[in-house]
Amino acid sequence: MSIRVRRPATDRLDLSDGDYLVVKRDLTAGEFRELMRASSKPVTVTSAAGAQTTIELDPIAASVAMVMAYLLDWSFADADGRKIAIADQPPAVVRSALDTIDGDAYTEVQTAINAHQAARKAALDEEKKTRRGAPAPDRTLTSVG
Amino acid sequence: MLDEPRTVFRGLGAAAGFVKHAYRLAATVVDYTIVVDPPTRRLTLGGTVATSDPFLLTQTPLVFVVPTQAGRLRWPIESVQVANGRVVAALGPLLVER
Repeated sequence: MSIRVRRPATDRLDLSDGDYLVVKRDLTAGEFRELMRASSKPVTVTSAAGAQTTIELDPIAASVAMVMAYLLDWSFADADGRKIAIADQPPAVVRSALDTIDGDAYTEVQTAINAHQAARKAALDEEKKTRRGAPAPDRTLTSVG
Repeated sequence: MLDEPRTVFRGLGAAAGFVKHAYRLAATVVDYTIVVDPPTRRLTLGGTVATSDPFLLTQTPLVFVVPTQAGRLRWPIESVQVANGRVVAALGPLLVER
């Protein structure tokens, strides 16, 4: 029997000016499917054979979907210096907060999360190569409630 | 009279609390109360389940989280039962996260 469920761990990604993000270390299958769904758009192609609907990647939606998939919390404050609450907020609130921050800040968030995702993919690929039998149960849990 | 269970926290209407396995949402709870039993000082959560994930509710550890303006209130969940749209959970001591 092999372990196929990871404990939901988080990572802190440091940004400029002392700011930070708290992100999911990895996505579950369901979270990955939601990322794919949010990254694509239906396209209807009409030909002699009739109309056919296919799915294609929407690059702009995909960039936001990646951020939304991983982001759990941050240290960002509003113009009055109050922390912008996104932890435990509905996706619409997080999306609105992401739309409200400066363009440079959004780019920094996106870059940090893309780098995190790439680093985790590399780490997981390496883990697969070096795995000997079933992994031992993970007794640690970093929680963001 | 002093030994009777009393409400220590109440969430009304749409003000939701969340049962979580780390950051994963196991259940959304509305119209909830947390009562303390003075002799034992044990805390019990009771409320209406708005959304739930039956698998995540079987995972441990679980916490009950209430976002507030001052930060997040978190209680570790020692045991939980969900039936007929209601949740009842035994809670550990309150933790406040700012």
